[in-house]
Amino acid sequence: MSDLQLNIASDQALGGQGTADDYFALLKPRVMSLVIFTAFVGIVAAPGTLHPLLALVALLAIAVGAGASGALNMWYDADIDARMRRTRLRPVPRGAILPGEALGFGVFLAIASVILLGLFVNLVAAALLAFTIFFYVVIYTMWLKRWTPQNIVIGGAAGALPPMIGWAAVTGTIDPGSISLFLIIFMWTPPHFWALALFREDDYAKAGVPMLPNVAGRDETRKQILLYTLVLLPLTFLPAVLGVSGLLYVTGVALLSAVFLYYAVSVYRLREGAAADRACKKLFGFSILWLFLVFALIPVERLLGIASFPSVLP
Amino acid sequence: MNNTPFSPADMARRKKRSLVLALVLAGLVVLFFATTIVRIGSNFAAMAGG
Repeated sequence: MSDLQLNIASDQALGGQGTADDYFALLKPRVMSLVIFTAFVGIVAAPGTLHPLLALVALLAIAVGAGASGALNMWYDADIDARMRRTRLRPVPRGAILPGEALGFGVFLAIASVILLGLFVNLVAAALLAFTIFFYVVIYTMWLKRWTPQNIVIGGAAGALPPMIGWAAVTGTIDPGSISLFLIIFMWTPPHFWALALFREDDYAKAGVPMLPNVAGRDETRKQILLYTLVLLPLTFLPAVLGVSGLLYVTGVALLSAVFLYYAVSVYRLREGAAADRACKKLFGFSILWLFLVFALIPVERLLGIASFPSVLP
Repeated sequence: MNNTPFSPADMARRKKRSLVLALVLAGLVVLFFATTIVRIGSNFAAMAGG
Protein backbone atom coordinates (compact mmCIF):
# COMPACT_ATOMS: atom_id res chain seq x y z
CA MET A 1 0.00 0.00 0.00
CA SER A 2 1.39 3.42 -0.94
CA ASP A 3 2.05 6.18 1.61
CA LEU A 4 -0.87 8.12 0.20
CA GLN A 5 -3.21 5.19 0.71
CA LEU A 6 -1.89 4.66 4.22
CA ASN A 7 -2.63 8.29 5.01
CA ILE A 8 -6.13 7.98 3.61
CA ALA A 9 -6.79 4.79 5.60
CA SER A 10 -5.51 6.50 8.72
CA ASP A 11 -7.75 9.50 8.07
CA GLN A 12 -10.72 7.16 7.74
CA ALA A 13 -9.96 5.64 11.13
CA LEU A 14 -9.84 9.16 12.54
CA GLY A 15 -13.17 10.19 11.04
CA GLY A 16 -14.17 12.06 7.92
CA GLN A 17 -17.24 9.88 7.43
CA GLY A 18 -19.91 12.47 8.19
CA THR A 19 -22.30 13.22 5.34
CA ALA A 20 -23.48 16.67 4.30
CA ASP A 21 -26.74 15.88 6.15
CA ASP A 22 -24.80 15.05 9.34
CA TYR A 23 -22.99 18.39 9.19
CA PHE A 24 -26.28 20.16 8.53
CA ALA A 25 -27.79 18.43 11.59
CA LEU A 26 -24.81 19.68 13.60
CA LEU A 27 -26.05 23.24 12.97
CA LYS A 28 -29.33 22.52 14.83
CA PRO A 29 -31.48 23.65 11.87
CA ARG A 30 -34.71 23.98 13.88
CA VAL A 31 -33.11 26.34 16.39
CA MET A 32 -31.44 28.12 13.47
CA SER A 33 -34.80 28.73 11.76
CA LEU A 34 -36.14 30.46 14.90
CA VAL A 35 -32.95 32.53 15.13
CA ILE A 36 -33.24 33.61 11.49
CA PHE A 37 -36.88 34.55 11.98
CA THR A 38 -36.36 36.62 15.15
CA ALA A 39 -33.27 38.31 13.65
CA PHE A 40 -35.35 39.15 10.56
CA VAL A 41 -37.98 40.76 12.81
CA GLY A 42 -35.19 42.78 14.46
CA ILE A 43 -34.09 44.02 11.02
CA VAL A 44 -37.66 44.92 10.02
CA ALA A 45 -38.52 46.56 13.36
CA ALA A 46 -35.39 48.75 13.49
CA PRO A 47 -35.72 52.39 12.45
CA GLY A 48 -33.76 52.96 9.24
CA THR A 49 -33.04 50.99 6.12
CA LEU A 50 -30.59 48.33 5.08
CA HIS A 51 -29.87 47.30 1.48
CA PRO A 52 -31.69 43.97 0.90
CA LEU A 53 -28.44 42.23 -0.02
CA LEU A 54 -26.77 43.44 3.17
CA ALA A 55 -29.84 42.28 5.12
CA LEU A 56 -29.41 38.87 3.48
CA VAL A 57 -25.73 38.78 4.44
CA ALA A 58 -26.61 39.80 7.99
CA LEU A 59 -29.18 37.01 8.25
CA LEU A 60 -26.71 34.52 6.76
CA ALA A 61 -24.01 35.51 9.25
CA ILE A 62 -26.44 35.32 12.18
CA ALA A 63 -27.68 31.91 10.98
CA VAL A 64 -24.13 30.59 10.57
CA GLY A 65 -23.21 31.97 14.00
CA ALA A 66 -26.21 30.16 15.50
CA GLY A 67 -25.19 27.00 13.65
CA ALA A 68 -21.65 27.32 14.99
CA SER A 69 -23.06 27.56 18.53
CA GLY A 70 -25.09 24.40 17.88
CA ALA A 71 -22.05 22.51 16.57
CA LEU A 72 -19.93 23.56 19.56
CA ASN A 73 -22.76 22.62 21.91
CA MET A 74 -22.95 19.15 20.32
CA TRP A 75 -19.17 18.78 20.60
CA TYR A 76 -19.13 19.60 24.31
CA ASP A 77 -22.38 17.85 25.25
CA ALA A 78 -21.79 14.58 23.34
CA ASP A 79 -21.75 12.63 26.63
CA ILE A 80 -25.09 14.11 27.75
CA ASP A 81 -26.64 13.73 24.30
CA ALA A 82 -25.73 10.02 24.21
CA ARG A 83 -27.76 9.41 27.38
CA MET A 84 -30.92 11.28 26.35
CA ARG A 85 -33.64 9.73 24.19
CA ARG A 86 -34.29 13.04 22.42
CA THR A 87 -30.63 13.61 21.44
CA ARG A 88 -28.93 10.21 21.26
CA LEU A 89 -29.16 10.10 17.44
CA ARG A 90 -27.33 13.38 16.95
CA PRO A 91 -24.26 13.03 14.67
CA VAL A 92 -21.60 13.04 17.42
CA PRO A 93 -23.12 10.48 19.85
CA ARG A 94 -24.05 8.34 16.81
CA GLY A 95 -20.39 8.33 15.76
CA ALA A 96 -21.04 9.86 12.33
CA ILE A 97 -18.93 12.91 13.20
CA LEU A 98 -16.02 12.81 15.64
CA PRO A 99 -16.00 15.34 18.52
CA GLY A 100 -12.85 16.94 17.11
CA GLU A 101 -14.50 17.38 13.72
CA ALA A 102 -17.52 19.05 15.35
CA LEU A 103 -15.17 21.33 17.31
CA GLY A 104 -13.20 22.36 14.22
CA PHE A 105 -16.37 22.89 12.19
CA GLY A 106 -17.95 24.99 14.96
CA VAL A 107 -14.88 27.15 15.63
CA PHE A 108 -14.39 27.82 11.91
CA LEU A 109 -18.03 28.81 11.39
CA ALA A 110 -18.07 30.98 14.53
CA ILE A 111 -15.02 32.98 13.43
CA ALA A 112 -16.21 33.20 9.81
CA SER A 113 -19.71 34.42 10.78
CA VAL A 114 -18.39 37.20 13.05
CA ILE A 115 -15.84 38.36 10.42
CA LEU A 116 -18.54 38.28 7.73
CA LEU A 117 -20.93 40.42 9.79
CA GLY A 118 -18.15 42.82 10.83
CA LEU A 119 -16.79 43.32 7.32
CA PHE A 120 -20.03 43.63 5.39
CA VAL A 121 -22.52 45.03 7.91
CA ASN A 122 -21.14 46.71 11.04
CA LEU A 123 -18.97 46.10 14.09
CA VAL A 124 -21.73 46.48 16.72
CA ALA A 125 -23.74 43.66 15.13
CA ALA A 126 -20.57 41.56 14.82
CA ALA A 127 -19.66 42.17 18.47
CA LEU A 128 -23.17 41.15 19.55
CA LEU A 129 -22.94 37.97 17.46
CA ALA A 130 -19.54 37.12 18.97
CA PHE A 131 -20.97 37.70 22.46
CA THR A 132 -23.99 35.50 21.67
CA ILE A 133 -21.80 32.60 20.52
CA PHE A 134 -19.52 33.00 23.56
CA PHE A 135 -22.48 33.17 25.93
CA TYR A 136 -24.19 30.08 24.49
CA VAL A 137 -21.06 27.93 24.28
CA VAL A 138 -19.03 28.98 27.32
CA ILE A 139 -21.53 30.44 29.80
CA TYR A 140 -24.52 28.17 29.05
CA THR A 141 -23.12 24.92 27.62
CA MET A 142 -19.85 24.61 29.53
CA TRP A 143 -20.83 26.23 32.80
CA LEU A 144 -24.52 26.71 33.65
CA LYS A 145 -26.09 23.65 32.02
CA ARG A 146 -24.40 21.07 34.26
CA TRP A 147 -24.25 23.25 37.36
CA THR A 148 -27.52 24.96 38.17
CA PRO A 149 -31.27 24.46 37.57
CA GLN A 150 -31.31 28.14 36.62
CA ASN A 151 -29.33 27.12 33.48
CA ILE A 152 -32.02 28.01 31.00
CA VAL A 153 -33.05 31.20 32.82
CA ILE A 154 -29.61 32.78 32.40
CA GLY A 155 -28.64 30.80 29.29
CA GLY A 156 -31.84 32.00 27.62
CA ALA A 157 -30.07 35.31 27.00
CA ALA A 158 -28.15 33.69 24.11
CA GLY A 159 -31.39 32.71 22.35
CA ALA A 160 -32.85 36.17 22.98
CA LEU A 161 -30.04 38.15 21.35
CA PRO A 162 -30.69 37.52 17.60
CA PRO A 163 -33.36 40.26 17.23
CA MET A 164 -30.91 42.69 18.84
CA ILE A 165 -28.23 41.64 16.34
CA GLY A 166 -30.70 42.12 13.47
CA TRP A 167 -31.67 45.55 14.84
CA ALA A 168 -28.00 46.53 15.28
CA ALA A 169 -27.30 45.44 11.68
CA VAL A 170 -29.60 48.30 10.59
CA THR A 171 -28.84 50.99 13.17
CA GLY A 172 -25.38 50.07 14.46
CA THR A 173 -26.70 50.66 17.98
CA ILE A 174 -28.37 48.99 20.95
CA ASP A 175 -31.69 50.70 21.60
CA PRO A 176 -34.60 50.32 24.07
CA GLY A 177 -36.72 48.94 21.18
CA SER A 178 -34.28 46.11 20.51
CA ILE A 179 -33.93 45.41 24.23
CA SER A 180 -37.73 45.03 24.44
CA LEU A 181 -37.56 42.26 21.79
CA PHE A 182 -34.72 40.65 23.74
CA LEU A 183 -36.74 40.71 26.95
CA ILE A 184 -39.70 38.93 25.37
CA ILE A 185 -37.61 35.92 24.29
CA PHE A 186 -35.59 36.01 27.51
CA MET A 187 -38.70 35.74 29.70
CA TRP A 188 -40.39 33.27 27.32
CA THR A 189 -37.53 30.75 27.54
CA PRO A 190 -38.07 29.46 31.14
CA PRO A 191 -41.80 28.59 30.83
CA HIS A 192 -41.13 27.07 27.40
CA PHE A 193 -38.24 24.81 28.51
CA TRP A 194 -39.67 23.95 31.92
CA ALA A 195 -42.87 22.74 30.24
CA LEU A 196 -40.64 20.44 28.16
CA ALA A 197 -38.62 19.43 31.23
CA LEU A 198 -41.82 18.42 33.07
CA PHE A 199 -42.67 15.73 30.54
CA ARG A 200 -39.02 14.81 29.81
CA GLU A 201 -37.88 14.85 33.44
CA ASP A 202 -36.54 11.26 33.37
CA ASP A 203 -34.42 12.02 30.32
CA TYR A 204 -32.74 15.00 31.98
CA ALA A 205 -32.28 13.08 35.26
CA LYS A 206 -30.66 10.16 33.41
CA ALA A 207 -28.23 12.57 31.73
CA GLY A 208 -27.45 14.31 35.04
CA VAL A 209 -28.64 17.72 33.82
CA PRO A 210 -30.01 19.72 36.77
CA MET A 211 -33.33 20.89 35.36
CA LEU A 212 -35.81 22.51 37.74
CA PRO A 213 -38.26 19.52 37.98
CA ASN A 214 -35.56 17.07 39.10
CA VAL A 215 -33.94 19.55 41.50
CA ALA A 216 -36.73 21.65 43.00
CA GLY A 217 -39.63 19.29 42.23
CA ARG A 218 -42.55 19.30 39.83
CA ASP A 219 -44.83 21.53 41.94
CA GLU A 220 -42.16 24.22 42.29
CA THR A 221 -41.57 24.06 38.52
CA ARG A 222 -45.30 24.56 37.89
CA LYS A 223 -45.29 27.60 40.19
CA GLN A 224 -42.22 29.04 38.46
CA ILE A 225 -43.80 28.54 35.03
CA LEU A 226 -46.85 30.52 36.14
CA LEU A 227 -44.75 33.26 37.76
CA TYR A 228 -42.54 33.69 34.71
CA THR A 229 -45.63 33.75 32.49
CA LEU A 230 -47.11 36.53 34.64
CA VAL A 231 -43.94 38.57 34.14
CA LEU A 232 -43.64 37.71 30.44
CA LEU A 233 -47.12 38.72 29.33
CA PRO A 234 -46.99 42.43 30.37
CA LEU A 235 -43.45 42.65 28.94
CA THR A 236 -44.82 41.60 25.56
CA PHE A 237 -46.53 44.99 25.28
CA LEU A 238 -43.24 46.85 25.72
CA PRO A 239 -42.52 47.15 21.94
CA ALA A 240 -45.84 49.02 21.57
CA VAL A 241 -44.99 51.34 24.48
CA LEU A 242 -41.62 52.08 22.86
CA GLY A 243 -43.13 52.83 19.46
CA VAL A 244 -41.85 49.69 17.73
CA SER A 245 -45.34 48.30 17.08
CA GLY A 246 -48.94 49.41 16.80
CA LEU A 247 -52.57 48.54 17.45
CA LEU A 248 -52.63 45.28 15.47
CA TYR A 249 -49.69 44.02 17.54
CA VAL A 250 -51.37 45.01 20.81
CA THR A 251 -54.64 43.33 19.84
CA GLY A 252 -52.94 40.16 18.62
CA VAL A 253 -50.66 39.95 21.64
CA ALA A 254 -53.59 40.42 24.02
CA LEU A 255 -55.47 37.49 22.46
CA LEU A 256 -52.41 35.23 22.22
CA SER A 257 -51.35 36.03 25.77
CA ALA A 258 -54.78 35.12 27.13
CA VAL A 259 -54.36 31.65 25.59
CA PHE A 260 -50.77 31.40 26.91
CA LEU A 261 -52.00 32.27 30.41
CA TYR A 262 -54.79 29.68 30.14
CA TYR A 263 -52.26 26.93 29.33
CA ALA A 264 -49.87 28.08 32.08
CA VAL A 265 -52.72 28.01 34.63
CA SER A 266 -53.67 24.52 33.38
CA VAL A 267 -50.11 23.33 34.00
CA TYR A 268 -50.27 24.82 37.49
CA ARG A 269 -53.64 23.27 38.34
CA LEU A 270 -53.38 19.82 36.75
CA ARG A 271 -50.75 17.90 38.72
CA GLU A 272 -51.53 14.19 38.34
CA GLY A 273 -51.82 11.64 35.58
CA ALA A 274 -52.15 11.92 31.83
CA ALA A 275 -54.05 15.23 32.04
CA ALA A 276 -51.05 16.88 33.72
CA ASP A 277 -48.70 15.56 31.03
CA ARG A 278 -51.07 16.76 28.31
CA ALA A 279 -51.21 20.23 29.85
CA CYS A 280 -47.40 20.46 29.80
CA LYS A 281 -47.22 19.30 26.18
CA LYS A 282 -49.92 21.81 25.18
CA LEU A 283 -48.09 24.68 26.87
CA PHE A 284 -44.80 23.63 25.27
CA GLY A 285 -46.35 23.38 21.80
CA PHE A 286 -48.35 26.61 22.12
CA SER A 287 -45.38 28.56 23.47
CA ILE A 288 -43.55 27.98 20.16
CA LEU A 289 -46.57 29.14 18.17
CA TRP A 290 -47.04 32.11 20.55
CA LEU A 291 -43.48 33.37 20.05
CA PHE A 292 -43.73 32.96 16.30
CA LEU A 293 -47.04 34.83 16.07
CA VAL A 294 -46.04 37.62 18.47
CA PHE A 295 -42.91 38.32 16.44
CA ALA A 296 -44.72 37.85 13.12
CA LEU A 297 -47.15 40.66 14.03
CA ILE A 298 -44.36 43.25 13.73
CA PRO A 299 -43.42 42.58 10.06
CA VAL A 300 -47.12 42.12 9.24
CA GLU A 301 -47.78 45.65 10.55
CA ARG A 302 -44.89 46.97 8.43
CA LEU A 303 -46.18 45.10 5.40
CA LEU A 304 -49.70 46.52 5.83
CA GLY A 305 -48.27 49.99 6.48
CA ILE A 306 -49.95 50.21 9.86
CA ALA A 307 -48.48 52.97 12.00
CA SER A 308 -46.77 52.26 15.29
CA PHE A 309 -47.71 54.04 18.51
CA PRO A 310 -45.60 57.10 19.31
CA SER A 311 -42.73 56.14 21.63
CA VAL A 312 -42.94 57.15 25.28
CA LEU A 313 -39.21 57.90 25.07
CA PRO A 314 -38.01 61.30 23.86
CA MET B 1 -7.71 -4.63 -8.51
CA ASN B 2 -9.35 -2.05 -6.28
CA ASN B 3 -6.73 -0.59 -3.90
CA THR B 4 -8.89 2.15 -2.41
CA PRO B 5 -9.47 1.81 1.34
CA PHE B 6 -13.00 3.20 0.90
CA SER B 7 -16.12 1.26 -0.02
CA PRO B 8 -18.29 2.54 -2.90
CA ALA B 9 -20.78 3.80 -0.29
CA ASP B 10 -18.01 5.77 1.46
CA MET B 11 -16.90 7.26 -1.83
CA ALA B 12 -20.47 8.22 -2.78
CA ARG B 13 -20.93 9.92 0.61
CA ARG B 14 -17.66 11.81 0.25
CA LYS B 15 -18.51 12.83 -3.29
CA LYS B 16 -21.88 14.23 -2.19
CA ARG B 17 -20.26 16.12 0.69
CA SER B 18 -17.63 17.61 -1.61
CA LEU B 19 -20.30 18.63 -4.10
CA VAL B 20 -22.35 20.38 -1.40
CA LEU B 21 -19.21 22.15 -0.17
CA ALA B 22 -18.34 23.26 -3.71
CA LEU B 23 -21.86 24.65 -4.23
CA VAL B 24 -21.77 26.49 -0.90
CA LEU B 25 -18.38 28.00 -1.75
CA ALA B 26 -19.53 29.03 -5.22
CA GLY B 27 -22.63 30.65 -3.69
CA LEU B 28 -20.51 32.54 -1.20
CA VAL B 29 -18.19 33.82 -3.94
CA VAL B 30 -21.19 35.25 -5.82
CA LEU B 31 -22.71 36.69 -2.62
CA PHE B 32 -19.46 38.32 -1.46
CA PHE B 33 -18.84 39.79 -4.90
CA ALA B 34 -22.35 41.26 -5.08
CA THR B 35 -22.13 42.55 -1.51
CA THR B 36 -18.78 44.20 -2.21
CA ILE B 37 -20.32 45.96 -5.24
CA VAL B 38 -23.20 47.20 -3.05
CA ARG B 39 -20.82 48.46 -0.36
CA ILE B 40 -18.56 50.19 -2.91
CA GLY B 41 -21.63 51.69 -4.61
CA SER B 42 -22.92 53.13 -1.33
CA ASN B 43 -19.45 54.54 -0.52
CA PHE B 44 -19.34 56.28 -3.93
CA ALA B 45 -22.84 57.65 -3.35
CA ALA B 46 -21.76 58.96 0.07
CA MET B 47 -18.68 60.62 -1.44
CA ALA B 48 -20.73 62.20 -4.22
CA GLY B 49 -23.25 63.46 -1.68
CA GLY B 50 -20.58 64.83 0.69
